[in-house]
Amino acid sequence: MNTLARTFDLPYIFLKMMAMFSSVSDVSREESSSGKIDYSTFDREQMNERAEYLLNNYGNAILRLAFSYVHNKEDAEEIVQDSILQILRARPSFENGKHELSYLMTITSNISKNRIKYNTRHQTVELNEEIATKDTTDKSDDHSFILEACEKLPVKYKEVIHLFYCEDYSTAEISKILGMKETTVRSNLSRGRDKLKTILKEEYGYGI
Amino acid sequence: MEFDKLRGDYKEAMESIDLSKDSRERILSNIRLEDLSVPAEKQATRKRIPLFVILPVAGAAFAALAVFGFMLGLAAHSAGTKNQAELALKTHNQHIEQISGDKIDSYIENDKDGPADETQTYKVDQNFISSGTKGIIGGDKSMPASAAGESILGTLSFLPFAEYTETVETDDRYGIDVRRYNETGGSEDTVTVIVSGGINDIGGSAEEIKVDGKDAILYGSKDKDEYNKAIFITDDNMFFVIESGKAYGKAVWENIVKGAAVEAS
Repeated sequence: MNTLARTFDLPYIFLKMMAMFSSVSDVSREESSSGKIDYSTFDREQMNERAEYLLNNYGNAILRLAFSYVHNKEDAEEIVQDSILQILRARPSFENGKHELSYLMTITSNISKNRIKYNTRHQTVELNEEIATKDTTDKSDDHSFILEACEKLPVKYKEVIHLFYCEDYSTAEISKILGMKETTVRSNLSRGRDKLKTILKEEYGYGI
Repeated sequence: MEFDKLRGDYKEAMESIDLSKDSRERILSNIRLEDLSVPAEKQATRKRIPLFVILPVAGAAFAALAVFGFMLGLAAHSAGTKNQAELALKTHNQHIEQISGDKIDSYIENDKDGPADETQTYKVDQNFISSGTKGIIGGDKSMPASAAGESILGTLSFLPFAEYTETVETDDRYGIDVRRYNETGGSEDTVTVIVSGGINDIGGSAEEIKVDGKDAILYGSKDKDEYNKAIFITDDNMFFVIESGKAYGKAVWENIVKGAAVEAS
């Protein structure tokens, strides 16, 4: 009887419905915040906040990607800064955070390649920096020689090796980030792996 | 599977590379100092036209320009040719007016620069050959050259053309300009006169002479100053051609023309 009365209690039904709408509204707001990201709507303060967010969440990933190209931590840190600045200036919009990270990876890859070209043209600077890097490299790390071995690989191999082994991207995702065919990614990965295996075995006695 | 070890070791090696707190703060402070505003004009021009669009368009534009230039050149050439032809026709008409009297010598003198391959038809009554005169149209009278007043081995042919076409053309074999007279009255005779000098199919050049006050043209010879043909005009504007099987000099031809003129009259 009590339940039946409750069933026809209009204020109760109204409150229930309001609660339902409220929860739906919360969910959609949550989806919106974790979903589409539109930089064009950001003001300066939001830009700074986004830069901090990118640095905290993706900073190490893009630093390591940059390092896999230039093998110099100072250069890699500059590349991180330039990559974040570039995404803030471009004011793109993304469907989700994953898309944003892929975009950031692409920017980092391109800036890193440009930096390699720049360093090639400025050999003296590169040599000095290389010496500085080797001095600052953490020698206590037992596997730092793997990075040294990777340094000897051509760029086209080390970029796919890093994204595949370190960032755990699939070959399809790597192809999108680097803007190349998936078959090319696979063949570069295979050849790079073989080449790295040879270097590790011959120069460092590392057996896979 | 064999690379799982490498994956683990690689990740472990990479983990030593990370952003220190100081680096993070330095990067953030640098970003905060940067001007991130995008000027409106920069936004408008940011979209670049790719090379694969520019190159074909530029190529097509260049090709179109080249074709246009070629067509323009062709048109200019055509216009120039047309102007030349008009000028030549005008000159030729002036010549026709000059010869409409009875001066055949003006033919040769004035037509040196005459137009090539141009044909003009003359009528007896409108020009210098009177109809009804002895030897006219198809009249072909032959006699020994000796009978013409000179002891020569040859035949004099009297070919008075009553109606003929005059064609000024270039003889491709020798690269010379010739004036060709084609009889249109039925005998199909042809007389070729050199108008620009040089060598014709027989050789030698043309020469104008006066015989008893009459105009005559000597032409058609293998050797210099020797001729085997002559054209002369009688007092009554008869137009005669004399052919000889042997070439003679100017003095001999004066006698032949005199004799022929007597014979023709």
